[in-house]
Amino acid sequence: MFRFKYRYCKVLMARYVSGDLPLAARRRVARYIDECEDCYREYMRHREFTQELERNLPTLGRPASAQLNQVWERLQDDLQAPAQERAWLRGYGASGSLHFSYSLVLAAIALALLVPLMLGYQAAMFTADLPRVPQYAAIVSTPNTSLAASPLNISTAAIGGEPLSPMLHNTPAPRL
Amino acid sequence: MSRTPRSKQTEIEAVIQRALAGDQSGYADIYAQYAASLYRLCYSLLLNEQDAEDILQESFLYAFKNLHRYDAAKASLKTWLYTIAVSRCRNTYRRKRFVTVDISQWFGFEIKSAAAEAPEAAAIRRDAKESIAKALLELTPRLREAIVLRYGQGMTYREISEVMGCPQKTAESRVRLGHQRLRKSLQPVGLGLLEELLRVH
Repeated sequence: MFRFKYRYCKVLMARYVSGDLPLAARRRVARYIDECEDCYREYMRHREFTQELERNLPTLGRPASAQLNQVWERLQDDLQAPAQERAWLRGYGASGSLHFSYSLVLAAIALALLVPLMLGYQAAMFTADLPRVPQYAAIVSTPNTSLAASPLNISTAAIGGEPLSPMLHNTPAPRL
Repeated sequence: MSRTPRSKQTEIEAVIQRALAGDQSGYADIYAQYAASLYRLCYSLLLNEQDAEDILQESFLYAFKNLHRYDAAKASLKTWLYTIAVSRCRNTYRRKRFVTVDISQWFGFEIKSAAAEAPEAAAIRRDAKESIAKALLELTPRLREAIVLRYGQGMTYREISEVMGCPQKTAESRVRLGHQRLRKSLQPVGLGLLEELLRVH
C-alpha cells in the first residue's frame, strides 16, 4: 500500500509543488505525504531541489545591457539592408540574393557546355568530306546523244585535262 | 501600481499596432520588453553566448518582418516570440549536437551580486550554477527545453505546451522527467551545495 502511495506521489509531485494539481488530486497527495514517510521525504527533496532550480536557472545567462544594445544595432541594420536588396532584385523575381547567384552560376555552366558543342558542330560542318560522285558512272551516263550516233572514244576522253585511258586501263570495253 | 494581465495585454496590442503603422518606437518597445528574457532562454538552451546572440537577432528579425501575421487570439506575444526562438535553437543544436562546449563561456559576464554578499557565498552560487549548467547539457534537448521554460522562465504547463508544440500532458511529463534526471545527476553535489548555501546565508 505504501509503495502505491509513494509511486502516486512521485508522479504528481512536480505539479503538487508548483500548485498545478486539481483539488481532488492535491488533497490526495497531501494526505499521502502526511501518512507515508517515504512520500514526505520525496516531497521535501523535491521541494528543495525545485527551489534550487528556481533560484539558479533564472540567473543563468543574464545579459548585460551593452550586449543587448549591440544586438539591437545589428538588428536594425538587418531590417534596413534586405529592403534595399529586395528592391534591386525585384526585376528578377528572385526571393533573395542566394537564388539570384545560383541562377547566374547555372547559366554560366550551361554556356560553358553549349559553346564548345556549337563551335565543334560548325567546325565539323566546314571540314566534312562530301561523298564523291563516281566519275566513271558520270562519264558513262553523261552522253545525251545515242551511242550509235557518237561512239565514245575512250582514248581521247579526259577529266580535268588528264586522259581517262590510264584510269580505265583494266576496265573492260563497253559493248556497243 | 501593478498592472493587471488584461491591461498589459491591451498595452502590448497597442505597441504592436504602433509598430505595424511604421512607428519605429513600437519595435524598440517590443525589443526592450522581451530581449533579455529571450536571450536568457536561448543561452540556457545552447549554453553559448555567441549562438544565443545570433538566435536572439534572428528571432526578432523574423518576428518584426512577420508581425502582421501575429494573431493575439491564438497566443500571447511572449509565447509567439518564444516559439520562434525555440525553433531556431532546435536548428542550432541539431547542427552542432553539442560536441564541444566551452565551459569558460558559461560565466563570461558577471552577474551583479549584492554588495553585502560574501565572496564565499558568491563562489558557492557560481559553483551551483555551473553544476546546473553541466547537468542541463546532459539532458536531451526536449527535456532541457521543458526544464528551462518551467523553472528558468516560470511558464505554466499550458504555455510550455504551446511553445514546444506538444500536448499539455507531454509537457508535464517532460518537466517531471527532466526534474528527476537533473536531481539524479546533481544529487552528489546538489544537497551539499544547498546546505553550504544555507549555512553562508
